[in-house]
Amino acid sequence: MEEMKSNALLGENIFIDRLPSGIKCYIIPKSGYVEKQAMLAVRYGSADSSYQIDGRRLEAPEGMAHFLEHKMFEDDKMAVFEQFTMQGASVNAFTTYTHTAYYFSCIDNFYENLGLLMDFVQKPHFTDANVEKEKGIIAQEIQMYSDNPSWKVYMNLNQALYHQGPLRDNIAGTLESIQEITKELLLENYNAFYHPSNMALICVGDLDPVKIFQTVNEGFMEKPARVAGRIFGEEPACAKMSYIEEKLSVSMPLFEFGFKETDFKSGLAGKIASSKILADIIAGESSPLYVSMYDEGLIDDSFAMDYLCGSFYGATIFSGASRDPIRVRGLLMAEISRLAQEGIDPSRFAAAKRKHLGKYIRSFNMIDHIGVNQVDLFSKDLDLFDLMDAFQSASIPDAQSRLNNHFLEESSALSVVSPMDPCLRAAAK
Amino acid sequence: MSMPQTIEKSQAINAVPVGEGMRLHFLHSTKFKTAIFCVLLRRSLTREDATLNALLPGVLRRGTSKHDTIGKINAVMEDLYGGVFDCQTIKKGEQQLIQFYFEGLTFHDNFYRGLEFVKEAMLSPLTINGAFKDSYCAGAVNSLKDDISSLINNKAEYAKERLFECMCKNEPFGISADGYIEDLAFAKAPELYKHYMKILDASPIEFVCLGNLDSDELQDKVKSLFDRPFGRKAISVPPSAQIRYSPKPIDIYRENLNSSQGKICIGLRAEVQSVGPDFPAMLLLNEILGSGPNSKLFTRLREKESLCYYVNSVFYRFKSIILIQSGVAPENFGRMLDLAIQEIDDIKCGKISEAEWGNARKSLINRLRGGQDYPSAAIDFYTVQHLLGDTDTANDVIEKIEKVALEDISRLAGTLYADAAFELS
Repeated sequence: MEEMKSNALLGENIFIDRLPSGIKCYIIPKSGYVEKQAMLAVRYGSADSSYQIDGRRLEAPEGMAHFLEHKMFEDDKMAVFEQFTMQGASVNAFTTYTHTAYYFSCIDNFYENLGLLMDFVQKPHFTDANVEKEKGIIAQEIQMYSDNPSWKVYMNLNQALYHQGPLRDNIAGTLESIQEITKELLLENYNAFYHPSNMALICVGDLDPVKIFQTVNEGFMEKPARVAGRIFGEEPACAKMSYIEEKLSVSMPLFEFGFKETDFKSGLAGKIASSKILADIIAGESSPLYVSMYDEGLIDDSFAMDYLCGSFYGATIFSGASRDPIRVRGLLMAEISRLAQEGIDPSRFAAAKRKHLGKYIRSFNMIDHIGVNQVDLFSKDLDLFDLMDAFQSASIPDAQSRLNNHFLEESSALSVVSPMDPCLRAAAK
Repeated sequence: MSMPQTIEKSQAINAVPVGEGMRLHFLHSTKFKTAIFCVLLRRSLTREDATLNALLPGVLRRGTSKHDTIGKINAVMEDLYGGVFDCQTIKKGEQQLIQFYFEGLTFHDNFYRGLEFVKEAMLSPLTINGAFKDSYCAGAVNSLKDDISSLINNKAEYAKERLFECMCKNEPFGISADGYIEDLAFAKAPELYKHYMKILDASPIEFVCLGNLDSDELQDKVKSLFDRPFGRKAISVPPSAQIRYSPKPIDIYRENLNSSQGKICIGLRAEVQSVGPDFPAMLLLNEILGSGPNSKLFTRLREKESLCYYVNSVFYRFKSIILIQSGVAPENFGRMLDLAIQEIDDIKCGKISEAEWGNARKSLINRLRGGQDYPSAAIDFYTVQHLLGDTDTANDVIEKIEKVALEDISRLAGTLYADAAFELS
């Protein structure tokens, strides 16, 4: 049953429907824009390496979802990239812990391109040769990430926060794990997860929702639901370790200080909104703590904070570069204790809420941001307007309770990437 | 071809004088939630001034006469519904631009309050006894030192900067717009303030604005805010970038940073003027060579040879340079370079398939058309055109691309030579 949601402050509409094939559609019309985008998301990411289907428990090599994303671009006649380019579109894809998304953007031929998108994601073409060829490319991608200190500091934070489970693994896998991937395994995983009832289509642009629903109805066949279930072990509330450090060629220590989510009962939208607002109250750019750390030269413009989450994980993370990340952690913990004792100042709460509302409205400027945000929210069973509502209805009592229950020292960890000696020499050159 | 005109021309303003050496440019568009306002102070990129110029944003962002701490400035932006204020230096060819940036929602007076703040930051920075505050200057020095050092955190960016530094060592383009650590020792608050006063006095200033605003109101506002007697008389326009062209064998530079993956950057020079009939053909040449997944470099080096995950080429219009960049295992540096040169030789000989030709044209034209949906891309396109004195709109460039012939591409490729490569392992 089609549903339309509106939000007056946002000045936007969204049309949502679950079609007979099981696929869920989200359409966000943007009049006046020349570019149009469609994203086909599958609720299948690197976190789905252990799963259950037809009563069987299966384990896939690390990096399977990402490898599959790469290989879906094979076609027995013409490269998928080229098919889209010939119709004036550019196509790409990405894989996260929780989902894989294939998307194109174009100006003309939107419905032809939408047909191509639905077609190629439903037609795998794996051969021994094309699977082997991909291993070299993905190995280079893994190497590229291992040189990226910002990625490493985040991955290490997950190592420290979680005792077990898929967030400890690399999305792209390891140089060894990808060698185990075969065309048979790819097909087995494809069949386990790539079912319309496990997918969503998100369209953004100057578009007609009725015509899209019709095109998608024709593009997906009804199939008996057969989707694998994720298997996760029990994750303790406390962090596995409170500190983790690695040396890389960076000029100054980079850090991520995270608080692991332990509340999986409250509504996700409310948690996202209140965590973002709270992080700002603790150490946002106008907070007394930020100003004193900045004046002392303890943090720089790279200092940032966010709440990252999926349906089964989450963390508020403070990150940046600092000569003394341990001292930054100490100051953050002291400020959290002070706020817990003294209570949140209503004017600070109002200012932070206002800022986040404005930022959220601004995120509707760009078609690609809207699409990516809705794909991410689909993986959490939310839509863009749920989050807008959550920002609008965020309240001080909710924030205060979240402050007392989420920012706990025992569920926190500090990850640091610090400089290696040769790099210091290079930097001083 | 019919082109949707998404930046409405009716209300657009091109280079309207709003004061001595100051011009306002307005791109009217109704579709965005926010409007953007950029102030650009144009300077020549020189080794003498690069570091001082790069230091200024770090001081100007810290405090104004009315809002004397970074916390108070950030609180102003919070109050403007999460408005974005920034000050930074940008390298455009052989010019160094000092940019003040504001982006804010356009309801009520939200946006114009932001403009008032930009004026305050630009014209009334915090001073003590006729100089910038000492501690803010010292803080900016440390922070710039950290920024310059942190370039090695991003290996691909580091390799690119080092290539240009080596390849263009005798040209202003080889100078870093981020400045130099060794030059920071001379940066003291009184001298820096004097330098800033000189810049305010003598630089051409461009105001570039995009959004759903009334052009008359905007013009009045900018005039009343910024057209003040701060003694602007000897305004000197920085010269355009010089294009160097003298074919020679390639120079290869190497550095070891113990990276997991090697990075290679190759710098090629062509004999093409920044403005003129060959510019659209050069864009198309670059598209065929290395822009996107249908390009020659991507299909050969990644899809066929499995050598890399990313490989692309970028055309630096101001200098007529093409940069090829990729992440690759160090043992394959030589092979990568040979294959890239082979692909260029193919273009020289006119070996461009119908699909390569058609796909490159479509991708390039769509990117130019779609740029109007992205505020920063629309502003950047306009600014570059203006700095170069090129009056073509995106639609004009598209029309010219449609007329480019295969022979034009081969002829221009014939002028390409690999000047230098930088290999980082």
